[in-house]
Amino acid sequence: MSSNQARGGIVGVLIVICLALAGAGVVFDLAADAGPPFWIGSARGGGAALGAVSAVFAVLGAYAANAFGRGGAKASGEGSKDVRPDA
Amino acid sequence: MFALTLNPGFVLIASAILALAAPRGARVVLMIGAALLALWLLLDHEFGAAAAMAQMGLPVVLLDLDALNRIFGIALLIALIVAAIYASARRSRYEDGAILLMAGGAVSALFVGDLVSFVAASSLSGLGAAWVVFASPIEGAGRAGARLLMWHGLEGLLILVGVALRLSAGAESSVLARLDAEGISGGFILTALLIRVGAPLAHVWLKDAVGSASAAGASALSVFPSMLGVYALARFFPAAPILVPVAACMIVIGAFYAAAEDDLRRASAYGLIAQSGVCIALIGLGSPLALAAAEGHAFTTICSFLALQMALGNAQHRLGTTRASQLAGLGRKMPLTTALVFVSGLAVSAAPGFSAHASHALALEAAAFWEMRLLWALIAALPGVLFAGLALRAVIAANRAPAKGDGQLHEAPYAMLLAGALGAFFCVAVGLAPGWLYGLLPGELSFQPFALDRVGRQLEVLGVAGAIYVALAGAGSVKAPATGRLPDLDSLYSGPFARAGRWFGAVMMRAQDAFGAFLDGLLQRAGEGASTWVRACDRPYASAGDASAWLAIAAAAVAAVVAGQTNG
Repeated sequence: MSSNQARGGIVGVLIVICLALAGAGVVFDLAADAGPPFWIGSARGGGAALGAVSAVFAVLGAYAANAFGRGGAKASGEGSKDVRPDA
Repeated sequence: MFALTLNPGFVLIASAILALAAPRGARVVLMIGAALLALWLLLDHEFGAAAAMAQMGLPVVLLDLDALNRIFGIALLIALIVAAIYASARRSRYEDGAILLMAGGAVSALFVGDLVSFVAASSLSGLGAAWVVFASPIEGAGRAGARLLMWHGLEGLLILVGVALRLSAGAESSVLARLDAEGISGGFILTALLIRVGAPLAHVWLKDAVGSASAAGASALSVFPSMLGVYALARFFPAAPILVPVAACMIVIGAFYAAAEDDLRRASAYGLIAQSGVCIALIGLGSPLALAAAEGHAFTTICSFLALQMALGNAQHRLGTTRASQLAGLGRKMPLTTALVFVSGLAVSAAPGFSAHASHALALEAAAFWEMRLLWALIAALPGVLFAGLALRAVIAANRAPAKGDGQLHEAPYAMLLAGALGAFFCVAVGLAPGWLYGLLPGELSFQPFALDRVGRQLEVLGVAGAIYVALAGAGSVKAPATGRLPDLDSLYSGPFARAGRWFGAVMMRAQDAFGAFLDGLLQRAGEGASTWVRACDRPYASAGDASAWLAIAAAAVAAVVAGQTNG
């Protein structure tokens, strides 16, 4: 099994879970009898917009890590299993 | 009637000493027993001050219980019980002692009622935290422990100066009370506490310590030190406006690095900084609802990040790394650990049904009350980033196919899995029955975290953020972080600043050598001149010409003085 196939399997499952969460959220949001929003972010659908912004922020963070993280020193603590003789 | 008025933290400190001599099997019993005894002492006592005395004219209040320190105390002691079970899977009496000392210092600091005792207990906790890192078997832990010691030393110095300035106003000002953040003494103490909670510019110590500690040590470090700081800010600086922008920066920095950092234990530490930022922002708002939300959110943050660090610690224990780029195959080899990482990832993301949702909804309500739009947006969006950056990223990384030739890997030891599951269970239990948590908060609180609009909004944030992130990751659009350390503030003082310091040191050494050589030459020449002169004085008739000249000069000088006095 290739790396992409393995990742594709879990990606599919996760997408289904996330879409189910998002769908349930939209349904609850529409069904709720909430008061007037105090700004646009708290209006109906505002959660979805904030979620999209969160995802873009996380992806940009990964891009930044890729751009700036290269060539650095190995982080301390890496490669050391947490095993020791009794002290 | 007999009543114990012992500070619960003292039990843990005494147990830390006993742990150094106890055999392995007895240590876990000792740690759990000490935590249970401390919990009993806490719950058995009525609210109010006790065990007060005077020392050198200063009031010393060793136990002062109220709703604020009770909720923090319960959370920390439950966390210690779970951490003790987790720690029983490995052998390290020094680390067990260090964890108990750190917990004992933190719990003692919660319950003391005067500033001097608070400083002492808080410093003891900091010392214990550094010892936890020193006791780690991981490479580079010694240097990380030294750095942590420096951070805590700086914090201790600042808080000590602040307390000394405050005490100069009179002995009665030693009793714990609300402080003025704009005064000089309050400013010093506030700065010290901001270091403790990992405010911007001081946020690197937590991920440095957590990344270098062992699995058990990192779990404890992610609970005790920074949450003591949150408690102290709530105690000393409620409604201090400066806290709101500082906390907003903590949320942004923490969220960014939680999504960007390849090492998931460090990423989790950044996530903890972001959630601590939420607590501190609420403390800065200062309304009764906001303060209650801050306390509740601190409680749930302790539960959820303890569970996440323990789950990640399982991978560290077996693999030796928690870098997302090196977790391929973990899902098959350690399925329980992978499941625990995902569940605890949901917990830190405040998913409905988990404890953090109960406090997160309360936090949003408090921010909306003051119409703090930016802060509200940051608090609302944070779970989406943590869900993508911690839970989903870890699961996707763990389910990549491993490289050929990867060896067999067993699940983590039973005690570690049990503790991780306990932590996750606790998050779910409080999440499903949040009335218990609300009952611990000060004041009567009637709040419905499972109202449709609140649950709907949270599911939207998590679902949409997750779907977009996973879709982009599946399409290969999410860049894998490059190997190497992600730059942060500590890169300056371990990189350019360290190089500049070494260069400056070398230049100064050479300058000192050159100055020393110049001074030696100068002194040698002066000495030679002086000895020549002394020799001339010792033997005034060695050279007749010179002696007569000296005699003539001396005679002329005496004549001039006498003439001057005669004329005057």
